[in-house]
Amino acid sequence: MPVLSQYWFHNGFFSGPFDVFNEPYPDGGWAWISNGSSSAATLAWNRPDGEHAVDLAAQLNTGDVLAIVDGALGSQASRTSGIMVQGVFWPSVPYYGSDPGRHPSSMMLARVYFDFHVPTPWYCSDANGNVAYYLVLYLDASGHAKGYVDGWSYDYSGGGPFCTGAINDMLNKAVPGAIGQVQKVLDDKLAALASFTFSTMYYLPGSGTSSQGDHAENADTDLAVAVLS
Amino acid sequence: MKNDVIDRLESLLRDEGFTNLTTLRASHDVTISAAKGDTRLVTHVSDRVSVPSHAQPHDEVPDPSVIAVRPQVPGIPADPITGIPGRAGGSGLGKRR
Repeated sequence: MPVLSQYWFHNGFFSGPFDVFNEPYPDGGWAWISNGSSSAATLAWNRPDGEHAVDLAAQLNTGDVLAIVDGALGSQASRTSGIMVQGVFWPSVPYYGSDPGRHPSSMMLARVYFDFHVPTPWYCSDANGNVAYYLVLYLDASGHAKGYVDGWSYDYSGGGPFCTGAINDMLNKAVPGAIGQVQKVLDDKLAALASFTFSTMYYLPGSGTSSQGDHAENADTDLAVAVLS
Repeated sequence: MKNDVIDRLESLLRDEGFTNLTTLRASHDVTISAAKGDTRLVTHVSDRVSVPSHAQPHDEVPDPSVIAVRPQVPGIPADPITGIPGRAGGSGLGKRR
């Protein structure tokens, strides 16, 4: 059954907390949604019958994936959050400046990230930050869903006054060193769709739920990708 | 990084009675910590300012020609760069009957 979804973003388009109201309607029928409160941005999206929406954060917060992440960090750092996913427009990706023409400026990448903590010797403050991988998802010429790791970043606070060099060395090795494992996770997850072909792919903020009624979610911590045959 | 300076500093500290020497080595800096009674000492030698953030594109990505369909972002062309609210609409035929 088709669903009319209306999103109200509290802070800005496709970012931060938002509310979504879903109203299913019969094929060929009609639906309406009303709202009395304010928002920074709003989006209405008619979601056809046959849409297959994948909640990316839910797919990645599984024991096997978390074990891979923890293994990649090793003993020098620890993960302090679950895996989160955020839609990021290309100009907002941290390595955009190194090659702005790499992607269209309106393109959205899936930022897969988690928080970490690094303990330090007594003369430094502990470091807290996040590690991110940026994924490009697409349909190939035969209509199969594919994806690849486009780049990575890390950012943290702390580690001063003397330990940022050692922390950077550790992260500069561990973060790009895990790209192969991240790619394998992505390939494994997309393999579940390998027997299907699609004509359309689009992102939805949050979990991509189409359940009837009101839902409160956060576009900074979850992203869904939807496909249509 | 001149390791002989580090070695000489470590020797000096031992000669002066410092114990619990630990040496934290990174690619562009070395930090030595030591203790002597209630006195704690830290020596840091660096040849580069270390910035606590980094980002890099991956070199081994598929040729862009393999991408037949990019994901749409509902609401575009609202301006994603400036955040200026935009108005947009769209329609399509989901499946043919």
